[in-house]
Amino acid sequence: MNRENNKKLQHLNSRSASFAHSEPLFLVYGVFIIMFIIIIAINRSFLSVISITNLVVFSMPLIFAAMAQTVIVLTKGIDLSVGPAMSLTMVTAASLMRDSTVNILTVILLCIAIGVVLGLINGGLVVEARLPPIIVTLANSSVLTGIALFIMPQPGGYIPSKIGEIVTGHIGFIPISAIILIAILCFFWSPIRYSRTGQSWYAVGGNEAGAYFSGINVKKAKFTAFIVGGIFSAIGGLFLAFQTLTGDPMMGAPYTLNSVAATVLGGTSLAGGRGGVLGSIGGALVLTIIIDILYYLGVSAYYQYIFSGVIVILALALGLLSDVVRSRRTVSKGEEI
Amino acid sequence: MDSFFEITGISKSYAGSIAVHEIDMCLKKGHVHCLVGENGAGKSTMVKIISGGVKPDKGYMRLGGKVFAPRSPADAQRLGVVAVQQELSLSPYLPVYQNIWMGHEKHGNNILKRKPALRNDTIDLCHQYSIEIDIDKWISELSLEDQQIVEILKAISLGPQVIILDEPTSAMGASNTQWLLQLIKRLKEQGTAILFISHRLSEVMDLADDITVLKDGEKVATKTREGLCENDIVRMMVGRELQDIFPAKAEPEQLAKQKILFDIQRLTSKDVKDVSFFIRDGEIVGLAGLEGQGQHELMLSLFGLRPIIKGQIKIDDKIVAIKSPSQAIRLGISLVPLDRRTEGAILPLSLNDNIALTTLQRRQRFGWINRTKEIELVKQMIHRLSIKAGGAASPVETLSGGNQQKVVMAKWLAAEPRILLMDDPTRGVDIETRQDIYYHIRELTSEGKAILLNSTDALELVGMCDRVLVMYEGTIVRELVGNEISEEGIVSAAVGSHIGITK
Repeated sequence: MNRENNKKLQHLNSRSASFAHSEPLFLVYGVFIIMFIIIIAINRSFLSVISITNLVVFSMPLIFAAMAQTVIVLTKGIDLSVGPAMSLTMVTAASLMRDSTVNILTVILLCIAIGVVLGLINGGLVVEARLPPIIVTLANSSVLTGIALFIMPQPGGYIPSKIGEIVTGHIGFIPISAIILIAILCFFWSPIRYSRTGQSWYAVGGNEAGAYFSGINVKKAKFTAFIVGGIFSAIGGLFLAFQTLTGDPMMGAPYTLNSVAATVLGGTSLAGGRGGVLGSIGGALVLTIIIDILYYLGVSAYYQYIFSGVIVILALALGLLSDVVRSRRTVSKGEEI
Repeated sequence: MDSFFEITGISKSYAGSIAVHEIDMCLKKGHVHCLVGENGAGKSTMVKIISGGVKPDKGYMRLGGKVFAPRSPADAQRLGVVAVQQELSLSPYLPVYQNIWMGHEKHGNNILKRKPALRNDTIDLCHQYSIEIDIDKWISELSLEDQQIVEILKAISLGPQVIILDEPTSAMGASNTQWLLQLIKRLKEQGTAILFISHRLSEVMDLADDITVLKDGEKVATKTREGLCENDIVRMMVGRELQDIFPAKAEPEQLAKQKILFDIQRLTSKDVKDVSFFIRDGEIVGLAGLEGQGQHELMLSLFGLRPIIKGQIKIDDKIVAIKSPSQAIRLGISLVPLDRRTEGAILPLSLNDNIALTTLQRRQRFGWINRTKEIELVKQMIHRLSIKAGGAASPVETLSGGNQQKVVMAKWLAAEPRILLMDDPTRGVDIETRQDIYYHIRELTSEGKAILLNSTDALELVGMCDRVLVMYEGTIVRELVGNEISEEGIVSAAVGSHIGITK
């Protein structure tokens, strides 16, 4: 009897706890909805399948960059080579791709393999050589940019236009890009996130020494995070190529900073251990829609650079703000922090 | 009974300084072996060696007759040796149910089944050990006390043959301490060998079958508890009698003549309800009660860390407002905070920098810091509080816990406060350092300072305070004076036998 009651009680509690834990998610998607309403108010014609598909399609590279960043930030790391890694896979795809389906699939797999290798390199230097991630990945970003320029000194290359059509298309009113994203989330991300490996990222990011004492393989946790991050960066680079149908060795560069912004905006703590990719996807959508709003307002492209820089700082400030709000709340509950 | 876990000739030194030397011990199944000694006596090193975190330089261990040489904490856990360490091993942003099974869960990677299975295991575990805790909350959302309980549950969930409890009660209130004592009795019945470390000698006397005393990294003796009294243990640890630990209190008649320095009327803030009290010049007033009855929050409110909703604060008969710590400091209030690691000292900085921190403003001249004065001040403080450290330049993190606490005290004394709020200042501090701290606190009162001392240790309140205020659910339910201040008096008032509210 008593036992049953107890179970019920704990179940009720669980809802309030998980609800509170997903607060940042509500926040970022709430902001997105507000932005969406604003953009429709500015431009009624935005409310069409084509514009919404375009919004999703143009968000894709940043969404994957942000997911890459998030996984690594969760383990208290950071990856400043996300953008150049995207450039590298983009130019690789653009220089190797031909029209045959076999070729296309092989090149996609090759690019993902490059992502794995980049993750192994970053991870190896951080985990085995014990170098600080911020320096390792910053140095690597220079190396990767160099390789990308070596492969393709000028923008160019070839991506079959049929891929572009698929990626920018929609089935009914659902963008195909969104379907690809959801498939990746369901069949690649979730199995890892909810496995022990995924849990170990949170454990290591939250309390590294504690995780070690609990018997968690800290090295493996960091390594896997860099590898998964590398894979996401590669996918982001592929989307960049598929969207523009070319290769450009410098195009990935801005994504490093923006990926950090989207991650923080999505409620992932730069101190590690807290957050998740769903928030970062929301963060990426918000950043993209803001650029759209500026475009509709007729703001010159030069100003857009300034705006995106300012937005990054605002995103960091907002992220910090939500941290502060949260800790205030914990304090006011009368509990120790 | 046969020895089950044998430790023979264990030695370990760090960078030339000896941490432990030639330690022999043996734990028996179903026995509680208590390890006592001052901080720096080598207890923590022993815990780390046994639990696989640190490899000994010399000596060996045997578990059930086989050589036990763990390569890592995980390795030790697999072999059945588990430690509940002082530094919590929990991950702050994962829920309780994931933390408990971290590193040793039995379920596969099927993402649909894993979570409910882990939750059910946790509910069963909580039930088995009659714990009420919201298993879906993040660790960071729990109180320190609950975190400690989760840490203990985690250790038990491994089903250890040998369990090491390193000061598990240092953050616990009376009711949870009772729970732990029950738990230990149960583990004994199950035949677990227990190594228990505590600064609270009353607990040691309650629990121990055998007691090993360490001093300066060497074993003084191992004795069975029968025939030992607390005084014997203290004598072995520090070579002093227990009654000498506390300094003499103020004369009540003398004290009554002193003027009221700090006067609080009907103070209300979050978790503190309608609290009124006063402290005279040179008086030590204690705050007692079960854990989480508003003592800590009252401290924070008085230091400007919690907004005060209602009420009046007077210093020297003048009404003051305390809205921030810097304002509190300017009014002559200092707070020695609860958690010295996060709120007290800045661990990587030197003694010098830490102690000088609160007075930077004062020693500034045209934007430059007057270093000569600073060095003089720090020297004084190190001497005055007898801080044991390599030198004023050594980082605070290299000091023992007790000395770190002294640095925090020094830092706040340097601010020359008139009112000193002390939030559990001796938690996790060894007897000898405690004694030092007690004498220093009393010495401060002779300089006309008013002191508010919050403590989870009833004995400390009995030994130190001229008056004790007992809090319950955010309000003061009892004031104890003179002979009323006893361990029994405090405990019975704390559990809620409210006999009217005295002023």
